[in-house]
Amino acid sequence: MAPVSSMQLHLGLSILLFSLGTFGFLTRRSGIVVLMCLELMLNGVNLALVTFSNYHRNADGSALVLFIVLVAASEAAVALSLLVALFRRTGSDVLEDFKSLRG
Amino acid sequence: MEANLTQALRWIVLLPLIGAVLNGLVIRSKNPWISGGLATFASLGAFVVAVAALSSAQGLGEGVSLRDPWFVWMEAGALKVNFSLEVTPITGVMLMIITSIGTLIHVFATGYMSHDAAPWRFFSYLNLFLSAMLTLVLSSNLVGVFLGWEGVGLCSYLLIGFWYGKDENAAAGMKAFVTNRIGDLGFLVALMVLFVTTGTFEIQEILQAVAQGTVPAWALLAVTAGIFWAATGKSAQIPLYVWLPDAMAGPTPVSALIHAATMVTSGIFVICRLWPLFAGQHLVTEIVLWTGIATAWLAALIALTQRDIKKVMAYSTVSQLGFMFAALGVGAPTAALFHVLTHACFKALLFLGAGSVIHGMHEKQDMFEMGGLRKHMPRTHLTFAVATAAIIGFPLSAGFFSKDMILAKAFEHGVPAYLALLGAALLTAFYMLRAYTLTFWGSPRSKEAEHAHESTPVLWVPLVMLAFLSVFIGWIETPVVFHGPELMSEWMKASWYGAQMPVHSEMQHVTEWLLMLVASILSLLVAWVSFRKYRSHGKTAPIYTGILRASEQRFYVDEIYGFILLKPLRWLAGVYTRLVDVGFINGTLHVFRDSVRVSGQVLALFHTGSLQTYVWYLAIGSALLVLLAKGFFG
Repeated sequence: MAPVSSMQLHLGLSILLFSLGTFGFLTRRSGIVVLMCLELMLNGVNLALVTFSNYHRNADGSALVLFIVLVAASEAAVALSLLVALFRRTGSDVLEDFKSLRG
Repeated sequence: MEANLTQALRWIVLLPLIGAVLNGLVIRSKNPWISGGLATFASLGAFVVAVAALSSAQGLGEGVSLRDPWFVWMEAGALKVNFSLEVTPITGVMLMIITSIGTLIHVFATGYMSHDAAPWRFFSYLNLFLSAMLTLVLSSNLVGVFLGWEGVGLCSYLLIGFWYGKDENAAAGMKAFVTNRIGDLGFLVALMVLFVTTGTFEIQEILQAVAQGTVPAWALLAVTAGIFWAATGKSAQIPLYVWLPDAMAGPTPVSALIHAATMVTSGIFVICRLWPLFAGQHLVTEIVLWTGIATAWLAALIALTQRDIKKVMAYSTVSQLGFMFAALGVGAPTAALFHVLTHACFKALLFLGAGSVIHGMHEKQDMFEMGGLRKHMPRTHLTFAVATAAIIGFPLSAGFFSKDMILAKAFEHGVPAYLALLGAALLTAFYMLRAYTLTFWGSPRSKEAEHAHESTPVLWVPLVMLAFLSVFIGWIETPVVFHGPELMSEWMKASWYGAQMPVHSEMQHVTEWLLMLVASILSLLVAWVSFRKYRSHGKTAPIYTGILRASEQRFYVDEIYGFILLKPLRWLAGVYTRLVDVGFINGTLHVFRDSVRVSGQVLALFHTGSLQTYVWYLAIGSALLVLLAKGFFG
C-alpha cells in the first residue's frame, strides 16, 4: 500500500467535512443547526479548493475561496436575520413549521 | 383635361369620408347642430365638387369620360387594381341624385335627429354611407364598385339598427345584412368569371372586350346572372326583397336616403353601367322582366293593406324598383335609370314627408290614428300631395314621364308585359291615395292627430326643394311626340365607351299618345276611387278577411322563408354544433386541458414546502448527474 500523501489527507478531510455538513443539513430540524451545517459544507469545499490550488502551484483556487467566504458571509447574514424574524413571529426555528410558505 | 379637374373627383369621395371620421372619431359632439352641420357641409362639399367637375368636363355627352387615376390599390402578378374614379354621363346622373338629395336629407336629418342621444354616431354613419355610395358610383373598375357595394351594405346595417336598444331593430339590421350577403355571392362570382375571361376589372376594358366578342357566351351568361342575383338583393326584388320592409326600423331620413333614393337603386345602376353585357342575353333579360313585374305586383298588393305609413312607403319602393327592373328587362336601361332619377326625388320626398308626419304625431306611425293632418301640417301636406301626384303619374309630373317611358317600352316589347305593368301602376295609384287620404284628410282619429304640429323650417325646407324637383325633373327626358329634350337617352348612349346600343324607340305617334292617355286617365280614375273611399274613414281600423288578410300579413312570405329556409338551416346548425363544435373542437381542447391539469396535479406532489426535501432532490439529482457523467448507466 502506497504511503498516504498529505494531499490525500487534506482531501479526505474535505470530503469528511462536506459529508458531515450534508448529512446534518438533510436531517437536522432546527434552522440554526441547518445553517451551521451549510457552513461546514462550504468549508469542506474551500479546503478542497485550497488543496488543489497548492497542488497545481496556481492561485486560482485560492482566489475562488475568498469569493466563497464572501458569499458565505452574506448568506449567513441574510439567512440568520430571516430566521430571527421567523422566530419572533412564530416562536419556532424548526424548518418543518414553515411549510406553509410554499404558497 | 386639366389636371386639377381630374383630381377633383377624389374629393367627392373624400369629403364625406372626412366628415364621417371627424364626426365619429374626433369631435363626437352631442349637439345635433354641430354634428349635423358638419355632415351637411361634407355632403354639400361633395355636391359642389360634383357640379363643378360635371359642368367643366368637356365632351362628356360625346362619350368622353372624366377620369381620376388616384392610386394603385393592389398589385399581384396579373392582377392590378387601381383605385381610380371615373365619370360617365350616367354616373354623373347618379352623382347628382346622391349628392343633391343626400344634402337635402342631411339638412332634414339635422332637425329630425335633434332629440337623439348620439347624433354624432348617426351623422358619422350617414356620411360614411355617402362616401361608400359615391365610391360605388364613381369607381372605374368593378373591384371598387364592389367595395362601395359592401360599404353601403355595412352602413345600411349600421343605420337600420341605429336604435339598437330595441331587439327588433337590431334583428332588422341583421336581416338586411345577411340577405344582402346572399345576393353579394352573385357579384363575387361575376367578378371572378370576368377576371378569368377578360383579365381585367376595368369597366371600360370589359365593355370593349364584350364589343369585340372575345368574351365566351357562358361567361356572359354567368356574369349577367350573377350581377342580376346581386341586384335582387341590393335592390330588393323577389326573392330577396324581404329585408327592405323591415329596414324601416331605422330612422326615417335613413329610409329616405338609403332605402328609397340611393342604395336600393345601385343594383339597377350597375346593370345600366354594364348594359352591353346584358343587351344580348335574352334569357336573363326575360327573367329580369318578369321578376320585376312579379315584384311590382306583390309589393303593390301588400301595400294595399298596410297600416304603418312607413311600411306603405317601403312596399311602394319595392314595387317601384320592380318597375325599374321591368324596364331593364324590356331592354330600356334609359327608362330604368330615368325612373331611378324621378323616383329618388319623389320617394325621398314621400319618406321625409312621412318622417315629418311621424315627428308631428309624436312617433305614431299607424295611419288609422292620423287623419285631418292637412290643417295642422299645411306644408307637409302640400309637399306630400305633390309627391303622391308624381308617383301615381299625374300628367306632366316627374313620375308621369318616367313611368310613361317604361310603359311605352313594355308595350313595344309585348302586350302581356305592358298590361301587367299598367295593372301595377293602377295599384300604385290606389294605395298611394289611400295613404295620402288616410293621413291628411277626414277628421283626426286620435289625440295625437288633433294636436299635431307643423315641423320646423329645417324639416320642411328640404321638403319644398324636393317637391320642386318632383314636379320639374321629368322634363329632362320627354316623349318623342313632345319634341322636347331627350337628355337621358343622349347621356345613356354616351356611357358605354362607344358601344352601339339600340335605345331609341320607333313608335307611331298615335300609339304613343294613346298609351299616355290610357295610363293617365286610368290612374286618375283609380286615384279618385281611392280618395272617395278613404276621405271620411271612420275611427275604427278595418278588419280584413280573405285575400286582403293575406295581403295585410304580407302573404306570409317571411313565414314561408322561415319554414323552408331558416328551419332546415337551424337544424343543420344544431347538427354542426353537436358534431363539430362540441364533439370535435371542444373534445380536442378538452384532451389538452385534461393532460395539462393531470400533469400539474402530479408535479404539485413534489412541491412540499419543506426546504430539506428540496435539498434531497438536489443531492439525488447531483449524484445521478455524476453517475451519468461517469458512464454508470452504460
